[in-house]
Amino acid sequence: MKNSYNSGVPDIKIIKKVALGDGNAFEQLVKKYEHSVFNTIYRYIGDSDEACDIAQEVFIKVWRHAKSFKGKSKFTTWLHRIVVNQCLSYRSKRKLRIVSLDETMEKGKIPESLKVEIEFEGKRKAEIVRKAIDELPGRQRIALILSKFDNKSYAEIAQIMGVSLSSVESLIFRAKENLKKRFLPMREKDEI
Amino acid sequence: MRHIKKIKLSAFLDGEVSPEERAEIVEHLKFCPFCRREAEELSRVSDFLGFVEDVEVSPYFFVRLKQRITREKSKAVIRLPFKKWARRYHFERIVFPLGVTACLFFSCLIGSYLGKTIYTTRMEIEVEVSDEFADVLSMEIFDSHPEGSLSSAYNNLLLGEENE
Repeated sequence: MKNSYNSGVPDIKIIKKVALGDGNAFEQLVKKYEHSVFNTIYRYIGDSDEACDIAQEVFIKVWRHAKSFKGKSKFTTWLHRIVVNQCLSYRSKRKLRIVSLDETMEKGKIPESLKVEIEFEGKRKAEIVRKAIDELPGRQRIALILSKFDNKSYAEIAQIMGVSLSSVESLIFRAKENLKKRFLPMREKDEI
Repeated sequence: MRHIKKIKLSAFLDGEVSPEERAEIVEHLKFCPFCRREAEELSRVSDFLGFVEDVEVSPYFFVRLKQRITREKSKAVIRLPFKKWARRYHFERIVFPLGVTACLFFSCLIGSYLGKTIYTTRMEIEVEVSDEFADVLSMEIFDSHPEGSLSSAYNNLLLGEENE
């Protein structure tokens, strides 16, 4: 898991301190994983403000339930399980207004607001890919994000999502297939 | 030639197959253009995902998080004693509205009873007072005035007039 703040202290020691109400240990933990947690959520939700809110909720849960972490799995697995649950429940609670990829790619294809933001070709492509990820079914999306962006192994993803290894294999494969179908016409038109 | 299952190719590209399977797939790809094309397609999808870059987290993330925890803690202090009970009995959705309705009903009932009692008591007091008042103002009070007094003369005058 990528992090910008690595003190070298094992997570289990930090989380034990957090369980005792140590604010400094909590800060250390947040600084260590905020980037990774935020980006996983952002890739899932597609909105940075909402992602920030959900990332906060994740860390609040860590703070409240630190005592319940027994160290049976890796801390990052536990943390990601919270992230996945928050993302999935967010999705079920709230129907997102998703601008469909077709809508985006039609004539005048990139919305005006987006045109201003997208200054570079790379950013335009990134936006297209992000929207394509947005349109994947929830579980496929989260499995793909964990695999491709958080570099989690299939076994870890299975543990995080509470499913079998073959299910993870299938979810990721179906996600790739869906994306392939999405990207194929665009590639033919040389849009991506 | 039997092709490799697409799902296996996907796992292979993610480095999620056993060394034996890996060797088998590598060998197969050397001779199978169909599977090679499939693998390239899947691999291209992974390349596209590389366009999506990381987003920087706000430098105030922890400060805001801390503020939120403090805010929620202060709320929790008020709710904590009956939080579990409240959740079990759907306090906010069922018990609270029912409680408020019951309170209003009993308030009306008590108000009506008290109003009636107070009114009855007041009426009784008013009747008593008016009786006492009538006693005090009645003419019998002048009967025992001494002979020759002004009050007695007035009394006689009145009685005399009545007799006439």
